[in-house]
Amino acid sequence: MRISHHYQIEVTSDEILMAKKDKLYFEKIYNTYFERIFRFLFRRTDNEADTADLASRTFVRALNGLPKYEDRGVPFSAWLYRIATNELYKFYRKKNSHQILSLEEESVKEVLEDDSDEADEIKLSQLKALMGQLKDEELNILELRFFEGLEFQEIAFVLQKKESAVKMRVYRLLEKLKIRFNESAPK
Amino acid sequence: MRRNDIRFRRESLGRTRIEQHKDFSKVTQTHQQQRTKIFVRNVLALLAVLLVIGLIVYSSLRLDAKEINRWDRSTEVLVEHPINYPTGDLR
Repeated sequence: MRISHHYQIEVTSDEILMAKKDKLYFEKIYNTYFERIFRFLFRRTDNEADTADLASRTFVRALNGLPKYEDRGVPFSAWLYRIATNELYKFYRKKNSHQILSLEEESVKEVLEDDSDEADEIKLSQLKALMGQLKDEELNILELRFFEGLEFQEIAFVLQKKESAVKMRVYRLLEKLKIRFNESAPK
Repeated sequence: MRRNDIRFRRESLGRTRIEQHKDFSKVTQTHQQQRTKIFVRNVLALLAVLLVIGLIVYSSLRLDAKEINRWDRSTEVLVEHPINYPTGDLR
């Protein structure tokens, strides 16, 4: 597997400081991260209206919480992902439903490092079945690492866990998927 | 056992569609509404606390007043009906 996005634009600490002093400067933050947060939320809801609502809530909460924001050595986006993830948890709790993960086939193929058309359908359906059995947290880690392209340190910040614990979880998760993938592969 | 709903989409959500949902004024408006709500809630909470304190002070003052009244009445009784201690040789 490989990470799909390596580089993303981040706001500077000066811009964050300015937004802390005057909320009108928050617009720069909003414009920088809106699309990324929207796509992230859309993958987790597969519904445009719900996503728009959740994105709006995420940025309102960020605007409310900005005076308390402290730089913890992770990009500002990680803080937004944390807020968005909490909003998602609330959303699922309220709906009392299964977690949804809606991925673009192209990005899945990219992560699988497989461009062939022949094995695609089988592989995709296998992956779909395997991912469907993962625990909520495992699914979150998988998405943040391989589809959002976050560093371990950032994932640890988003999920409020230790970096070493996240690394271990990713390693075990990949092993688990590999084993199950081989078990379920047609012989 | 299936825990999650995994879906694969052939098409990605276009940037234009995402841009349609981008509305910073809505965020600031909601933020302002929430701040107003919080302000009103804080004022109401403060008023409630002041009301409780006022009631406690008032009731304790009333108790004091009752106590003073009772004491006053008892002195009045004493003045009106003085205790006649026996006088003279009691032997």
